[in-house]
Amino acid sequence: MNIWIAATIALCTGFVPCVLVVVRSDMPSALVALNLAGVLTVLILITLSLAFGRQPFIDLAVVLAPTSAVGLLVFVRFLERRG
Amino acid sequence: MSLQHWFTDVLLWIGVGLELLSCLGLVVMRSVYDRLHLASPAVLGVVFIAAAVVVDKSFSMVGNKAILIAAFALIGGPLITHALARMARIVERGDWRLGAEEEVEVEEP
Repeated sequence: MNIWIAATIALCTGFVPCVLVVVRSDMPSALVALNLAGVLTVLILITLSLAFGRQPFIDLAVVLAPTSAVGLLVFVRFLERRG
Repeated sequence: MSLQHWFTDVLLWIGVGLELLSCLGLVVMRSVYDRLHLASPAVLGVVFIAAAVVVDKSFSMVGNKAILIAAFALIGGPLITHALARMARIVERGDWRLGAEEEVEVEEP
């Protein structure tokens, strides 16, 4: 097995704790888990692009990294205003 | 196995391990601040995995973009952590400033 595929599978297991926290915890903790899930997704896109030899697909990770952060900050701003 | 592949493997698995430890900490801890504390090393995981990509592919198109992602994670990670902690405090106490909810009187000299 390609090492990048193995890394992808290992990173995918990290989604399980994130989903558990999102489902079972309060809103601030759920946002922390969402942040971590975004980081995991970026890394999975990087490793997948190398695993399948489709190197231009790393652009997806380059785009997702800032957009997931900005989306999270919008959530944060909304919750701050709601108090 | 060449030295390059060996370094790639080591960096990659350190990065993956850091990410999985961060995820584990998310479940183990109960307070949102503890969870934030343990989720922050995920940024280091990004740096290690980007380093693995650079060692494997050198400074090619992929390597340069991996560096870009790592730089973004290094800059954005602490900012997001700060914003999340501030939001958690506002949700918890109504204001993020120290003592603002208690209306502490400050003696003037």
